Amino acid sequence: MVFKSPLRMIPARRQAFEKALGGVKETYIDKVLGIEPGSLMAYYPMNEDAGAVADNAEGTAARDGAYTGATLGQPGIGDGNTCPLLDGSNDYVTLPAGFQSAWNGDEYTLAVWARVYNVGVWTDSTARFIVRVRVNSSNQVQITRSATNGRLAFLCESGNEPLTRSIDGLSTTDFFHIAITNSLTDGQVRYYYNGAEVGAPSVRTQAWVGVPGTTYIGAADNTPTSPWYGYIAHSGFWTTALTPAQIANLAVV
Amino acid sequence: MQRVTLVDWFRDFGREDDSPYPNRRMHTRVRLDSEAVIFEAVVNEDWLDNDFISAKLADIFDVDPVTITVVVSQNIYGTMGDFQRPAGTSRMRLGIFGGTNATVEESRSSCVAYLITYNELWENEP
Repeated sequence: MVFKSPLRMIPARRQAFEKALGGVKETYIDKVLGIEPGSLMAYYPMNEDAGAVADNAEGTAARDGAYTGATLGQPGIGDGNTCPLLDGSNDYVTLPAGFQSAWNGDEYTLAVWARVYNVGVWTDSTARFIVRVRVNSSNQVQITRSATNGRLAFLCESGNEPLTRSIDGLSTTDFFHIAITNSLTDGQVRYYYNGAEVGAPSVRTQAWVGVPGTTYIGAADNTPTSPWYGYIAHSGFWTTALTPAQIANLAVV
Repeated sequence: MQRVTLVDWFRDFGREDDSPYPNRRMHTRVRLDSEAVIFEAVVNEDWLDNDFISAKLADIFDVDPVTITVVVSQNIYGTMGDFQRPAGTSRMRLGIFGGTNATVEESRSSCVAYLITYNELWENEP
């Protein structure tokens, strides 16, 4: 008898499969999979111990990511899963054409856990990308460790309407959770750090144009330019703007 | 014509343009639409002052300096001064990558991050 890999099952079947095995209390992965499952586009737990594939736990293999140079199997956010270390030089994760074609620039959420390698990363005056989804300079979203020391910077740009937010004075060496929710329908972009909203929502008026061709976790491109130096885990992407309560839930291990 | 006048004036900001060390000289990069320029240079910090720049603009364009309004804002790349005349009508925007208190490395890195984000506006090749 052959079992299809649990990670390849759609979430509802996977939960039933695990329940049949004797019941498993909800894991962090289960929690993510259970939030707006119908709008979950891609979710990378990044908990592999080896290999080159960043599995898309949502189930669509065409959206699996690809590791380049990452050191897998490092201590994670505390949920029992591991995560990769990106060395700030050569490492990144490529999100494929299947991800790009599924992207909805008008309604989305991206949420991710990250941690710097050491406190010096906050003060090395180097911009580093945590996540980037980009069509061109008029349609892009990115979260970066800004070139300004101690700063995280959020940029959401649709139809040449740049909306930004930054958080200053950061020096944490713990994992932190960051998220952006973006809705053209609601006309709002919200930014989150550890489950709490950062400032008031930005007003959005312009539509996203185009299919992204530059999509990476941990770098700006595949050179890699401005690579992340530290750990990244549980990268989730939804085709809807999650609520503040849902984001707060994602920020809890 | 006014834009050329401003560019020529900003070129004078570079204090060590005759330095034997290339990194101390002024370097410029023009946006492909010719609407903006990035300057990299050793500058007199006293000149990075809104009142000083407003006075210079007034002198160059022969207007009353009190008619120039400066609106300062911060974005993820640094500090931006919007020089308006009359108030509400933007005439020139001057930004400092990394902000006014940035180190050389912070400012340079902020500029590089900006160029990564908007590369096709500034460079001919991807």
